[in-house]
Amino acid sequence: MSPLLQQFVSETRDLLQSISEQLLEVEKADDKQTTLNELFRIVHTLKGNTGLFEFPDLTRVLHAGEDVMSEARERPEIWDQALTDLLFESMDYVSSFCDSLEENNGEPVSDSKAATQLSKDLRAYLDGNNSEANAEATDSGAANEPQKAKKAATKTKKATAQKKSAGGSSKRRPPRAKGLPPEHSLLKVLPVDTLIEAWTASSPDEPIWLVKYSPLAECFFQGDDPLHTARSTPGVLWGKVENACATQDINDLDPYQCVSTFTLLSNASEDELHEHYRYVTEQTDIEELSSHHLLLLSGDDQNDALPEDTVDALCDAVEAIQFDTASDIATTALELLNKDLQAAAALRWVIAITSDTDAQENEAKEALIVVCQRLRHNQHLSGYRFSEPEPDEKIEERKEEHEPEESRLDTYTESTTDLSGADTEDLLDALVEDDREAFEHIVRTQGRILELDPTVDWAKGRLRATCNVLIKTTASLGLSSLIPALEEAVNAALSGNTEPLADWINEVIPGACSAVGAGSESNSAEDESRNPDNLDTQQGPEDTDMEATDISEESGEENPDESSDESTADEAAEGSSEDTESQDTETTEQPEIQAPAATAPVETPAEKQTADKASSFKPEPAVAPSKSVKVDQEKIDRLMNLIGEMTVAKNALPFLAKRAEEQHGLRDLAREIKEQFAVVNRIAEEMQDSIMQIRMMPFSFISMRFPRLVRDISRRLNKDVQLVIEGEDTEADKNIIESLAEPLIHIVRNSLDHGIEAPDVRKQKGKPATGSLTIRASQEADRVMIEIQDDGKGIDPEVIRNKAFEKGLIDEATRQRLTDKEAVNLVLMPGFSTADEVSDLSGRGVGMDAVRSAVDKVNGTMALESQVDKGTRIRISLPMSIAVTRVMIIESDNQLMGIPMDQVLETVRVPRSDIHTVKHVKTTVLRDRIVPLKSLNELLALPAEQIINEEEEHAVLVARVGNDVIGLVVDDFRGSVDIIQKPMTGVLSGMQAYSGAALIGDGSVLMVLNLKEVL
Amino acid sequence: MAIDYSEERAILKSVVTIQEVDDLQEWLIAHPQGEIDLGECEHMHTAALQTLTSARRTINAWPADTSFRGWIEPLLAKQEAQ
Amino acid sequence: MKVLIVDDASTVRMYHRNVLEAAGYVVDEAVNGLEALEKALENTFDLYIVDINMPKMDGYEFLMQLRSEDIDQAPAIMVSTEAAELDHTKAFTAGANLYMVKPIKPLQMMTYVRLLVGEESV
Repeated sequence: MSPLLQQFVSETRDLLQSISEQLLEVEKADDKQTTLNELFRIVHTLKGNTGLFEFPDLTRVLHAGEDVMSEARERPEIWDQALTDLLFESMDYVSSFCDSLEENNGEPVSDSKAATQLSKDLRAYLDGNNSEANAEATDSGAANEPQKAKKAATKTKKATAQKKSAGGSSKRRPPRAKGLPPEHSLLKVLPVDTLIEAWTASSPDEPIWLVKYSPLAECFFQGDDPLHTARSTPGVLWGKVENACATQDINDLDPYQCVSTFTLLSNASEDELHEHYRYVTEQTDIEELSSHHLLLLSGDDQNDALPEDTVDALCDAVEAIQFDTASDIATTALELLNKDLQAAAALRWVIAITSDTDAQENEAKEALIVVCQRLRHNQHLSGYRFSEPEPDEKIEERKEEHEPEESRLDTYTESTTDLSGADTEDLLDALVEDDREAFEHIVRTQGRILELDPTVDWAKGRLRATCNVLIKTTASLGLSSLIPALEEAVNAALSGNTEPLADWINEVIPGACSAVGAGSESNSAEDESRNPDNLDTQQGPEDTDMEATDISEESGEENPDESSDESTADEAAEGSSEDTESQDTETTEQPEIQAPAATAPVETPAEKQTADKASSFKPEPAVAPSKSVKVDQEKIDRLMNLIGEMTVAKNALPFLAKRAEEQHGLRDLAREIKEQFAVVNRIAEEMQDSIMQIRMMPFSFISMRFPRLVRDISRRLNKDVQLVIEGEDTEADKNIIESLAEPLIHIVRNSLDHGIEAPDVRKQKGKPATGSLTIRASQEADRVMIEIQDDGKGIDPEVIRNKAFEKGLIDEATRQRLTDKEAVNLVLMPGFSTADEVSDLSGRGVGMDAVRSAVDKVNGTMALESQVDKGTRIRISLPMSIAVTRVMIIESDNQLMGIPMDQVLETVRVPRSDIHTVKHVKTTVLRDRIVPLKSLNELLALPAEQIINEEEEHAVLVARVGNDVIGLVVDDFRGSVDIIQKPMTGVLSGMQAYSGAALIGDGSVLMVLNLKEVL
Repeated sequence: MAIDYSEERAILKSVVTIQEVDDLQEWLIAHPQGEIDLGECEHMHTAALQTLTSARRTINAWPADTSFRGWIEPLLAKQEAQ
Repeated sequence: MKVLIVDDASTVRMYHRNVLEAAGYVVDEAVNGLEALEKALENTFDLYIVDINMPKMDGYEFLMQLRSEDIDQAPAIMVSTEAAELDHTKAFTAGANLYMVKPIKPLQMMTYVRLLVGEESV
């Protein structure tokens, strides 16, 4: 997997956790809005990330989720438990998707059907609930309607507006030629017959419409047939379907996903079109075109297809309005021409236009001029000076702009170029295509920025940024001849007069900047939307007046240039809610701390961000930015191993000192070695502590799973449970925390399954219907205590006694002797399960004993207390760290063995005479207490007798094993040492008597005894 | 049923609905060389069109309705050529 | 040439960083507008690439602060995940110089970044 993909998976897991927390929050939160906003933001981020990869299924689910969240934050009333369930399910899908990404090295095995179903369910929720919700909450429904209608209206791009405004608008601007209509890259591919047909069906008064319809992927499930919708469009002149199915294997095809898009031309009225597409407004883009847009020469390019004098003659005839002559010339020339050529297309246009009896003379001439100019350009002939068909509009020579290599659906290039700008044009022509496009887009955009409201506080900074951009961009392309004028204009702009700058921009990109300052009166922003690089595909036009009202209604912001798009309202709402959000830095910080299993966080408490969103928003440099670093677990493990080796190496020094002194008699050297050892020891210990700190994880790392778990299980069992988690900050070593996860889940399930009663049963018992489950973590000295308490039915000691007896776990005597407290703890014994019937929740045959053994593995202990009908409390005590263990080294039968220090109570020498045999068991009395003695050699089945020293004393190590105290008879003690215990591997792993092995200072291997097993 | 299946070809007639798409896809998978006859087809659901596009088959007859043909031909013919 | 990537999604930051670093830019990151402001106060950047939707401080607010406090007037690209969120005017009003839909294709990004930071083409 690429690092980017790894990052994606890791971040996705974090985000999923946050989503899960927020989802639980939504159900109980009073302030739903904040939670919903936050949810939307996270889902949105998640979906955004998927865009970097090709995971259509994943994107589909998240997109649906995002849409639902978006709807929900506007109308929180659509939220219910079923939606929470559905979203949980969706997040589970995302989670398993990530699993499969990891398992299959970046090639996910995705369940498309599941994805489709989820996304369908989510969307159905949207639409299905819509009608219901509308009925209930007519207010919000009604409020929504006009907005949608408005949105539909704003989606209509008015390409012709340019024509209207160009004549009468800006007085400041130098008069510009009207120019040819843009060559729409989409239309350009249409056969000329289709174009002529469409043109004949339209007139200058009745514009034609370019409709782009991209149905939702799930639309089939809503009974839509988009092809039918498209075909039945009123006034449809031409249309086509596009999809990428051809690249997909039929075997893998999911035909129920709509992946088709539709493009069509219609000459119906705008109202009719909106009516026809009213249910799919969001998926439809309707663009107005004038009939002149259709005057395109499609076909093959060949520049000397027609003799120049023929073209000239044709133009003369058009100029003289001798249409019959023009038609004759065209007809004759066409006969000699390959019909596939662009020149032939031009001739057919001439014939069609001249024979169109409906067309007005002026209109026809105008059209013919366009065709003739295009033909001349196509034939690489110089422009022809036609007189103006309309006195106020001049048509001059125009030069066709380069079409982008790949013509894209949504874009068309402006071909309006001023003659006076020819120098600039040449300059730009010399650029690489990509650079030129980018340059034009950047300059155009700056022109647009220049038109924005200059009264905002930051307008000056914005202007300077704009100037910076223009200068840098121009310089970057080496367009040095443009720079002097630019610098002058920039200086003027910075001292308050932006006019020269607007002029400069217009000089470079004609029409890019129509006005200076606020209150622009033309629609030049639309030019912007037509930029050639497809960056702005869905940009709505800006109808300044309408937006101004819209915005002040919706968000109270006083910005006349705000777009009226619905998203504005969303964003505004979000912006205002962010104040509240930012207060709980903890929740947003949390995912940082709760690193996924693969990583461990490094964070110093001092660096926790305390930044509040100050009203003035003056950032305070004093606030240190959060500097957590996510570190690969392997790196920390490596550190851990190194410090382990260091500890071992360091521990060799006392041995060395001892040898220097005893074998070589170098007392001074021995002392120096010991001194050095003290220094190294201190550093090593601090280092070890620091590394331990890195490995520390908060309890919340596992406890965060419980809210969801409890919710899911209690709902399945129809029980009502209130979960309380305390001490989530309690930290312990990562391994400990992780090893705790499974046992805890098991305990919680047990509590819900067998502990807490159904609500009606609880009521009968006089308890509150809602059960309570508390999970509490705390630190006691160097141990972590976890307590899980419920107020359920508890455990009946009598039942346990009998069951343990039946199963042969205890004998009759024990059965009689055991106290109630001891009896309930029997459930922790191996092979014990109290469930009368095995439910799918608590698993099969694995009861509390499994939990116990998991706890044992990390040197933990657990105890259980229970009272019938009052509840059960389980206490687990764990070491904070398992990385380094201090062991007592003992010798027995010439072998060294280690015993964990936390089990060692004391080491004593017991005279042989003090050992008595009571009921076949050797015992001795220590501190007025009878301690049973066991010979280690015997326990390990070693044939040797335990050695006694010269004073006839046995070496006895008193240890606590579980709740018992025993004396272990060994040969000798060898002092204690820190070791890094490694689990036994290979054949040795089967040896239950040892819990692990470690290297010690002199390089030998030390086996660590597992006393519980040995006894 | 608006589709007649034979070993060599599927003949789509009148209006093909979404209910017929599963069968169509199955047949296309089972008959990798199977051809398509749209001569009497007046309309097909978008899902059917997508399925046909994915199958990339020879179309031996186009719809009589030229406007309908205009909609789908670029998509299906293009594939045929590949 | 130094670029600050402001985005709350670490994957997106990494993606942009990879592209920019491959082209020889020095890249710094901020996870929200607030952190970005702090970085902008302490460093000089040649370009900002700013996400819109972020916790604590969104991209609009960040740009407004950047421009109004006269902290830095270097070019800024606003990036958004999807077209539906497009709100060009709002972005430009706030002080962005360009609006791009992310994920930005590497080549496209390189062309625009090079032009915006005023680096001569090779």
